[in-house]
Formats: sequence, structure tokens, C-alpha cells
Amino acid sequence: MKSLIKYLVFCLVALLSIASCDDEKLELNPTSEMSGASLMESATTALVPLNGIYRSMYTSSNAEAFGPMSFNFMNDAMAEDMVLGADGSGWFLWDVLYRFKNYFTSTAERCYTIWSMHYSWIANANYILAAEETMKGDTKDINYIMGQCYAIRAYSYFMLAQNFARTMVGHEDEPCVPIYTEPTTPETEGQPRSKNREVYAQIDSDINKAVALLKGTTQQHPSHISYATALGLKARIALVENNWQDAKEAAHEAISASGKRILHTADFYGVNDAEAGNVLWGFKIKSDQATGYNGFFTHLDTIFGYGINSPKTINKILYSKMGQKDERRAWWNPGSQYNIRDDDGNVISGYINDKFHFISAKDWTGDYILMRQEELYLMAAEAECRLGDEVSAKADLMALMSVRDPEYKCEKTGTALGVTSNEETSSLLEEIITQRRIELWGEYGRLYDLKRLHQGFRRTYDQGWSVASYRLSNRPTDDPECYIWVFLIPQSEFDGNVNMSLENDQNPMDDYK
Amino acid sequence: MQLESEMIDEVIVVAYGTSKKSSFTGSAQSIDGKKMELRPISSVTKGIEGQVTGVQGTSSSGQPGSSPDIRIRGFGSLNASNSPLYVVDGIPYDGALNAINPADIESMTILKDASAGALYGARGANGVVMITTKKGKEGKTQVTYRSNIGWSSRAGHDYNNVDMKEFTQLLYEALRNGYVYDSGYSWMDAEAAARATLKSKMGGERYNPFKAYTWDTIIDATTGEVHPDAVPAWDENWMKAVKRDNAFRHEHQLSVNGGSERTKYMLSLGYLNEDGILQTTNFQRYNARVNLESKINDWFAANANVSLSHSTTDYSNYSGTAYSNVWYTAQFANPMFPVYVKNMDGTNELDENGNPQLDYGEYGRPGSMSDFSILGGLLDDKSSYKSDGVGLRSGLVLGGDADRLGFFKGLKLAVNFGLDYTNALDMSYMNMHHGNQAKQGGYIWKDNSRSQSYTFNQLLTWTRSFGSHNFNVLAGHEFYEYLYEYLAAAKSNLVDGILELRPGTTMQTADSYTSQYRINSLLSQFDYNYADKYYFKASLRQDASSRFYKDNHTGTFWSVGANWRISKEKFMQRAKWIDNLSMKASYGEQGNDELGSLYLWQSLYNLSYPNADNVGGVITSLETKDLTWEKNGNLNIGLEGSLFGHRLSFNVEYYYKRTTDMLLSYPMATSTGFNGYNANVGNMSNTGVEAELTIVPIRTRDFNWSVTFMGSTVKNKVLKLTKETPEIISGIYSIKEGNPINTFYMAKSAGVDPSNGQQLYWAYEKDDDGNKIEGSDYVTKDRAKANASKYYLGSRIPDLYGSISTNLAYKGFDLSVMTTYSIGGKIYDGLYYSSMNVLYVSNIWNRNALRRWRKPGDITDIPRIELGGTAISTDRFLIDASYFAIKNITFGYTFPAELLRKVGINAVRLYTSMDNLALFTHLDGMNPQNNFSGSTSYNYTPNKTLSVGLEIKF
Repeated sequence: MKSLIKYLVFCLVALLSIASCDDEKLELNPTSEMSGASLMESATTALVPLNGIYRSMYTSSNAEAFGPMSFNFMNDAMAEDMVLGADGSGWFLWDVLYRFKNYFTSTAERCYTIWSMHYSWIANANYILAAEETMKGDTKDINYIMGQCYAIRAYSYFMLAQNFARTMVGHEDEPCVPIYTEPTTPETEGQPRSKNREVYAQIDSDINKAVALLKGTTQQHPSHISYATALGLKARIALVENNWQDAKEAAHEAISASGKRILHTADFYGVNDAEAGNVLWGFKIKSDQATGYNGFFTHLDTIFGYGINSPKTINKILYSKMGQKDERRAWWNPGSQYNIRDDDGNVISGYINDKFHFISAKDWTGDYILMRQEELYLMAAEAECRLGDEVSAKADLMALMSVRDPEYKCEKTGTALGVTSNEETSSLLEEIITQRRIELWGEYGRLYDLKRLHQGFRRTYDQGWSVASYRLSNRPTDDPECYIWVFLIPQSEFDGNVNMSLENDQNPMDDYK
Repeated sequence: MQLESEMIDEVIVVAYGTSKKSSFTGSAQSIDGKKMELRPISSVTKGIEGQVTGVQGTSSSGQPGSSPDIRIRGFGSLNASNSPLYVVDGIPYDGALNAINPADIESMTILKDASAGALYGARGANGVVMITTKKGKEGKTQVTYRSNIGWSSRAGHDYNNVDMKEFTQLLYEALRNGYVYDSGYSWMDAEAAARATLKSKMGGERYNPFKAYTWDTIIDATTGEVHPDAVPAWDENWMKAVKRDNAFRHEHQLSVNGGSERTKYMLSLGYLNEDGILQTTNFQRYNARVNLESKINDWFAANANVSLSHSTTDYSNYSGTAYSNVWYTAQFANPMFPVYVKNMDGTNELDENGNPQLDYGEYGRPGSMSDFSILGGLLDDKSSYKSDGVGLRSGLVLGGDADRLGFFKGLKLAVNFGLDYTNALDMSYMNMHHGNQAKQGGYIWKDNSRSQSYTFNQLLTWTRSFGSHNFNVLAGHEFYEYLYEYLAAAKSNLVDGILELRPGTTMQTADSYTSQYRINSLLSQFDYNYADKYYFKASLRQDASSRFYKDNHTGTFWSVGANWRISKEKFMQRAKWIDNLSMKASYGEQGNDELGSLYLWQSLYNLSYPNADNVGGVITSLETKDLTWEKNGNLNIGLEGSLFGHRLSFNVEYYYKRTTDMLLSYPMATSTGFNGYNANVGNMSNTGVEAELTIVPIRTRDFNWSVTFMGSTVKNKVLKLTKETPEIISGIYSIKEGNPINTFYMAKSAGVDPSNGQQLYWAYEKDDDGNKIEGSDYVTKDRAKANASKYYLGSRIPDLYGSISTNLAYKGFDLSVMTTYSIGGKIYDGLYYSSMNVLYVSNIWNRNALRRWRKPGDITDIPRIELGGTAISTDRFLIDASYFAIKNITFGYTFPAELLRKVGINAVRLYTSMDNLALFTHLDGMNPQNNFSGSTSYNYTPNKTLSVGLEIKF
């Protein structure tokens, strides 16, 4: 009996040890993430998702994809001014050779990364914009956030439109990209492709809202789109729309609102300081946030094999258009050991980059510059030239060129442009474009300009395209109406979009429809 | 005979208890630990392959200490885990598989159906591997010492690639074809241009091994061929440079076993040191285990089982990805590239000490490997992984079967506590002299992870017999918690020789996070048998899991099963030749809550997006409150028997498994910012037959011979996907309703155009719904049409797979041979593809490329050679996955006991074992067991091991 009592006591103790089945114990949350609802409550916390969007604009998603800087670089690599000297390790080679269409089914390649990155910025912006009415905080602070989100959305649709459709003007009713302005939920249905004119109407609406909301706010960080940056974006958009009046006004307003000025090249050596006096928009790259091999300077600076074994050089004919005193001559190095030479020692590639440099290659640091004051002057000059106001156009051009080249003069007139960039017209418009090509080499995506200017191009040996296969002599790069540069919509879109089918909604697989 | 009694009474460990194999209602197969003891196996799952039916395994990598993946009865899930649950000594195991000393294992049981596994509820759907460690045995203390040394080499064949002259020829043709077909040159001009371009493509004359010629003259302009008398000045195989042949492995085990009726103990110590077949790789492990059981009185028992392990792994950090990966470059690098720097005359360039210098490509080696030496990277970079594991299994049992307990007779309360704790430190260092991180002054990454899980349960059982009625009832509660803490940091610009973060000047990363997971469960089981003839079992478990939203986190899982021992029936008593015959059937529902993320339903901002000095986050997933586990309905019918005095025994089972509420990424348009959201919408089935047959042709006092055949089939079928997308295509795979999972879906080759050597494809017309119009097939050269006309071309899943093994014992000698086979299924060999469609000059062609089209009029199956061409995936690279492998041969000799008794030794045994002896496949170089979906990758290749060992018992 005694042992039985002992037994029962033990049993009781053991049963008491049963942990209480408390339901709260089963509600667990991750330690390193936060819910969207709490972030959208106030203008202070909403800076977190806003900064997240900017950060994802310089985060690598796939090889050769690290946000806007990589897509601009791609559009330079696809055109004629950034001459590739050799294959090297093959980075950006498929851009140069226009091979990306073959890989539209892959989620690791160009077609997918351009599409998905821009749409992820749009989706993230839409979540913040959805809180426009409910967000608490000072109106100015809310406007600062919402204005940037509208600008990000405008920017993203603008870039998508330029990559996935032929240029707006002349193709207004051609299919462009689907539009979303509401936050995505599991119930969100994929939208059909909107027409170019509808997408640009959305872009205009967004950028105008951005400009209106950002007016009177103060830029808190160089990565943030300010009032002046939004105006700069508006001017870029207006140029694509051939809306010269808007382009001129926006560019001029941006020039005065930015508080920035044109700098001598020596004052922004390396084009790597987002806080330089001429930068309106740029990303600060910290060492622990840099993307290593998959970064901009890695492939341009002549520190790594990528910039040496596959030299990025300037079109020699373009180079020769600079005056002897043009300070930009220092941006390329005709004497570099890394230029490709023939057996007699003559440089047969273009002249290698000396414009873009790491701040510190050891740290992978070097800021990404997305808009400079100089570009605003060039945009204003172009718009004025188009409007027939050549006096103002020259004044804006000279504002830049007098800094670049003390001997620079421009007596040209007219707006004629060749069917290809190889056919020169010596018009004023061509001169302004030429200075754009030199000034913005490597940082703006030359192909975007060619598209909106309805110009083709031919890569030539004399420009420095010494590798025959790069010259694409049997591809229609000289025809501005062809589809060679219109990207394919990635397969994953068709997999999930009931309103789009591969048969009816894909862009032409080949160079022509 | 001993053999007989073993067979009759085989008791297997099953969920929350044990069972007699012959009367078990479910499907469970057990592997005797002895079958692994003598093999040079470093991780337990390596011992499973070929030992049970219905289990498929990968080959695992050759990295010492690595563990193969296994799949039990097909593939239950698309996006959630397909891995089984591992249970060690009754408690779900969260430690590393390679932390368990295989020599400590008494047995492993594979639970395959619901009747066997439903008590593991939301974690049991993919099957359960129950590992039981050795316990003390009553009797005189026995000491066992076992020592085993071995040598490993690379198993299987290498890919059959071209030599240097052939390479030069192909490269020349590729360049020529490029000029003709891409740049529009005339054939003559193209030939001249190709001869002139070789030099720049190959990085100048230093990389020209044919010293009698220059690059411009190496091709005879009249024949278009490499000069026949060209002789290479070097031939340095990169694979040879990095491989370690006869890598040394040694293992030592000491165990002590004994006890009294009341207290039993087992103590074991183990040490393993295994060099990899890749230079610098290694695995070392120290193990200790103590297992104590004490029966304090007839109603109170206690037990504790403590294990400690420490292991160190030296590995190559680049394995598994193409970038700088030695397995990629060693197999597929341009054969012209020397390992050591060459002078212009082709001899080694020597340093002041007369040693050859590793070639990092500093003299202009072309291609994608900049500042890279295959051997240098291995020697200069370092990666290591240290892991310390603690395991505890302890329990108290109150109650007993003594009659004096009266009413309480047969009632027991067991309280068990099990804990697994692993602390691991990973270090990866890239040197500052060469390679990826040279410009950064070197790079070091360290991460520390701490994983801790415990299970605490209280189980009440009642076991009583009343006449022919036997009852065994279980009810219990269980709580499980998993906690994982991670901390990582990396810096660059280091001090040479110091593998620490402290001196580094530049922060590259600093990160930490914690994950948690809990399950609260109630479980019960009712077991009844009548006269050892009719068996019935029902089990029920309710799990509440933290992985799901609070309103749907509770689920119920159950099973019913019955076993009829036909041989016990009266009408069978006359059939003396039947030793045992039983039939069983079961059905039940299990769950799979291993959905990948522990917080899958939540919509969260990932805060790892700081923008310079501003906190930043982006949304990474959509909220899905309805998300729940996958359910798995599991039917099993089996017939088991033993005939002719156990000369022939068999087990045949049929199963049908149906996954419902299968987790799918419900596809969304990428333009919504998401490619999908998680939803329980799919259905999938797996069905198959498993058969095992053992024959004992000879059984005498001195001579025993048995042969075992195992064969399994599995038919997988996707039954339902989302309404919007009845097919998910990813790359070369299609997942489509009605087809097996991961069906190959790609363009179909239609040969080569004899006029220009272009690849031709089959294409077809489509109706308005985008479906193929049967019979509309036509041949085209248009890649776009080929890409739009893909064909379903089978999957990796074999028609039949299994093993054939045999055991022979004659007096003191014993021999066992195990072979495995797999028939049917296909593999898309991407490695072969890339060596037939070379992108960069730094890569090599397979010898099959020599069959290429060369000039107009040639009829062949291989298109013209291109460099960086635009080939698409076709069935040319789908290879029959069938294989036959000799997995293991073990030969042993046990010294006669009489001889040993005189010197006080109980037993001495000498043995030799050969693992992974041979592999026969359809393509040299291809590893048919790389993974379950049928692709290949640049992995650490499997190795074969020859070992010899000695076992002494005293």
C-alpha cells in the first residue's frame, strides 16, 4: 500500500508537469521583419518602405542586374558609343550582341530582370500610396513620401515603356505594358498590356503629382527623389513624348530648384560622389551594401579584370569631336596599355574609360549617379532647339560647354538628324546630341536617346569596334523601326497573367515582326 | 536455428513503441545496424540505399561527411519539403545527420504508410526514418573495438572530352562558322579570318602548346585541319591537379556494453578522419554516447541517453555553383590552359627555388576565369565548418505489469524529454593574393548558428490481455519547440595569415536573426488483437502548429489498419510449408507542415534593405491567412509471408498516396510585383508496388547463402493545379495536370540541315486555345517556332528501381554484395549540353562534338560548331537515366572462437569493404543520382572507397 501511495504521488507530479497548452505560445513572428500595416501608420515609419525601394534599386537581383545603373549601362552597351574591346568574362556581352531574347523564359536573364525589378518597385510604391489618406503626420512629411512614390512609379513605368515597346511617338497605339495603381493582394488579377499612349498618360499623371507634392519639401538624402529630381524626370519623359515645351520648362525649373551647379570634371572625379555639387539624384554605396563583382564600377574601372579584359571604350569618332581643350578628354585614355592594339601598336578598340572610378575598390565603394545638373542644361537646350528658339538653346548649351571647353564655339543651326547616327547633318540639334553623348557616356543609356530620336546606328571599325562579330553587320541596327531592341516579356508573366497570352501579346521574337 | 527465431520474432521500433514485424498493420521496414557497421559510411542515410523498398536516394556529394537525400514512396509535394522526418530514440531529431555515429545504431526503421506514421501528425506525410541507438544488454561486460582504414578515389567515369589538337580544330571551326553564318563572310574569307583570330582568342602565343607552329599557322590552310605533326608541349589535366587519389580514411570505435537485470549501460566512443578526394577537403568527427537504463523497482524505471559529437569539415566553398567552382573548371576547362606558368618555349617557368609557378592567367589567359588557378584557389582559400552537437533522450516510466498493482496493472505513465542542440561555426576565407578578393585585400566570412529543439511528452499506456483479447492503448500530450539563432559577419582587407575578422578593415556584412517554431499535440492510439490472429490499430493525433494563422493552426491526423495472420487460421494449419502468411491493409491521413518558411502565411517587410544610413524594407510576400499543411491520404495493402522453413520469404505492398491541399505558389502576373502567393490548392498522387524477396538456397551448419531482390515502382501524377494555370513551366520542366511531376518539356531535335549544319527542330501548329494540333508536326530551323513547340519528353522517375544483394557465409568467412539498379527515366545533362554548346573559349567540348557538321553536304546529328552560339535545350541532351551500380562488397573472416578463448578474447574479425565499386550509365561522366528532378550540376563527385578493418570483442 505504501508503494502504491508513492506511485500515485509520482503520477500526480508527472501529470502536473504537462505544459499548459496555451494558444499564445503558438503565435510566433519573425525577429527580423515587420508587418506592412504598422509601417504605413505614420510618415516617420513609412520612410522605411520608401528607403527599401531605393535600396532595392542598387541591390543585385541577378548577374548584370543591379537596378537603374545596370539598365542604363545595358542601354549604353547596346548602342554604338560604348565600344566593347573584347569578351573578357562575358559580362554584358549578350547585351552587346543582342542575344537576350533567347532567354526570355529564364528568371535569371535580362528580359525577366528588367520586368520584375521595375514592377516590384511599382508594387512597393503602390502599398505606400494606398496609405495616402490614412497616414498620420505632418502634411509636408506625408507629401514628401507620397511625392517620391508617385515619382518612383512614373520612373518605373517610363523605363518599362522604353524597354518593352517601340518609342511612344509614332507608335502611340502599339501595346506597351500593363498598369497597376492599387496595392497587390492575392486577388489582384494580371492586367493586359496597355497602349503606349495609356502608359504615358499614367506616367504624366504620376510625375505631375510627384512634382506637385514634392514642391516645398527638402531632400533628406541624395538617394531621395526631390522636387528638382522629379522635374528632371519630367523633362526626360517629355523629351520622349516630343513634348518640347514641357521639357524646356521642367528642365529650367529643375535647374533653378536643384541648388546644384555645373562642375568642372576635376571636381567630380570618378563620377562617384552622390553628394557632389552637380548631383540631383544618386545612391550612396556603403561597403557592406555594395554588390561586389555585380556592380557598376567593377565593369568600368580598370582595376578589375572585368574592366581590363573586356575594356569599355569610347567611340573614337565621337571622341574626335571634342575640342583639344575639352576637359572631358581626360575621361578616356588613348595611351592606356589596356586598349586593344594591332601588331603595329595602333589602338584598334576605342579609348578606354577613365571617367568612372571606384572611390575605394577595396571596399567596392563608389556612388551611383542617376541625374546631374549638366543633363538638365542639355535637355533644355534640346527642347529649345526643337521649339526653334536657337538663341536659348545655344545659351543653355554654352552654359555647359563654356565650363568644359574654353575654346568651344557653336555656329550650327537647324534640327536635321541622320537616319542613322553615322550620317551627319551638322545641325544644331545634332551638336546638342553629340555633347550629350560625350557628357553622359556610360551613365545614361545611349540607346534610349537613339530610340526617341528615331535614329539607327552602325558600329564601325573606325569607331573602335574591332571585333567583327560585335559590329552586327547582318542585324538591322540601322533601322529605327525594327524590334531588335524591344525586349521580350518574360515567360513568368504569361504563366500568371490570365489577360496576356504568349501567342497574342509577346513582342516579336526576331528583329522584325 | 537462430536464423529462424530471428525471423519469426523480429521486433521493430515503430512510432511511440515497438511491434512485431509479422503482425504490424502498417508498412515499416527495418535495417539492422550491423549492415552499416562494416561499411565505410560516415553518415547514416548512406546506409539506407538498397536496403529497403520504396526509398530512393541521391548519391550525395563526395564531400566527406555529406549526407544523401532520400525520398520515401515518391514525391508528395511540389513546393513544400519532400524529406522524411527523422526520429532518434523516439524523439524528432533536429541535429545534423552526420553527427550520429553509424556504429551507435542498433536499427533503423522506415515508416512508409499512415498506420505506421500517422502518430507523427503534421510532420509525417513524407515518411519517417526512426533511428534507434544501441542500448545496454544484460550480462557480462563486453568490450568491442573496431578499427577501419580505407582509401577513396573518384567513383565513376569522367566526361569524355576532346584533347588539345581536337580542341584547336573545333575552335577554328567555331570561329570560321561565326564569320560565315553570323558575319556573312565568304567561306574562304572566313577561313582566313578564323586562322587570324585564333591568336587573340587563345590569349597569344604563350598559350599555344604547339611550339612548331604559331596560332596563324597551326591550321593548314589547304586542308583546314590542324597540322598532323603538331605536338603539344604540355598536357596538364586540371582534374589530376586537384584530385586526391587514395584519399585516406580511418575510423576507430570502442564500445562497452553490459549490465544487470536492473541497470544496463552502453558506452561508446568513436573517431573518424576522412580525407576528401578533392585536395584540402576533410571530415573529422569525435563521438561519445552513454545510454543508461535503470529499473528501480517493478513500477519505476528511468533512462538517459546522452550523446556528444564534434566535427570539423574542410570543404571547397565553390562547390555547387559554376563560378570558380573546381568541379566545373576541372572537368570543363580548356585543355590548352596549363596548371603551371609556361615559358614561351613551352617549358615550366621556374621561380628562384626552381619550382614551377601556378598559372593565374596573368599572361593573358582568355575567358571567364580571371586571376584564377584551379589549384591555387584550393590551397589559398579556406572553408571550414565546425559543429558541436549534444543530444539527450531521457525518461521516467511509472507503472508496471505486476499483478500486485491490481487495478493499475498494465497502466504506465512515461514522461520523456529529448533535446537536440547544435552549435556550428562556419568560416570561409578568400585570399588576398589572387582571385575574387585579391583587390579587396582578402575576404573572410564567419557565421555562427545555434539550433536547439526539445520535445517534452507525457504518454499514458495501458496494456492488458483478457483471454484472447489483447489491448494496448496510448494517450498522450507532446510539446515541441525549435529555436534557431544565426549570427554572421564578414570583412575584407585582412592581414595575411590571420583567419579572423578583427584585423579586417572593411565591414562587408553583419547580420543576425532568430527563428522559432512550436507544436502542441495530443495523441492517442488503440491497438487490439484477437488471439494473435486479427490485429487492429487506430491512431489519432491533433497538432497545433505555430506555422499557421491562429484560426487554422489545428489539424487532426488519423489512421486505421488491420493485419490478418492467415497462417494462424485453422484451415492453414495443414500447410506446414507455410511458416507465416499475413495480409494487411491500412488507410490514414498525414500532414506535411514543412512549407519552407516558418512564417509563410505572413506578409512582411524584409528589413535587410537599409538605404545607406536609413532603415529600409521591401515587401517580399503576400499575406495568406488560409494557409495550412498539406494533407496526405495514404492507402497501403500488403501481403507478407515466409515459406519452406524460412527458405523463401517475401513482402509485397501496394500503395496509393494522395496529396491534397498541396502547397502551390498560386501564379500571379510578374507585373503585380509577385510571381505568386502561397495557397493550398493542388493534388498529386503517388502509387506503386514494392516487392522484396529473399531466398536462402543453402543453409547448412557451415554454409549459408541468401539472396535478396528488391524492386519498387512509383508512378507520380499531378492531379490538380490552380484553375488559372493547369501547367507550371520552369525552364525545361513542366508540372502539368495528368503528367508526372517535373516532366521534361523542351524542343525536339530533328537532326541537322546538311546544307549549312544548322540544328533543325520539330514544331507543330496550335489551335486557338494554344494546344497542339496532333499530326501537324513539321521540321523547322526557326528557333522561335521550336521554342513555341515544346514536347513532353518523360521525367526522371524510373519505371523500376531496387537492389540485388547476397550474403554468403562459410565457416568463418562471410561475403556480402549489394548492387542497386534503376530502369527508365531520363536526365537532362546540362553539363553535357554546355560541353556541346561551348559559350566561352575557356571551356571544352565533349568528344561527341567531333561528329559535327563540317561542310555542306555532311549528314550528321551534331550541328556545326559555334562559340557562344544560341542553342536551345533539346532532347539531344536527355539521357537515359538507367544505371546499375555495385554499391558494396564486404568480405570478412571471423577467427574460430576456440582459438581465441585461450587468450581471453571473445571474437576477432577481419574484413574488407569496397563501397561504390562500379557504376554503369548511358553517358560517361554523368551522375544518374545527382538529384531527384533529373538534372546534373558541378558537384563534388561521389567517391569509391576501399577499406579494411578489424573487430575485436573481449
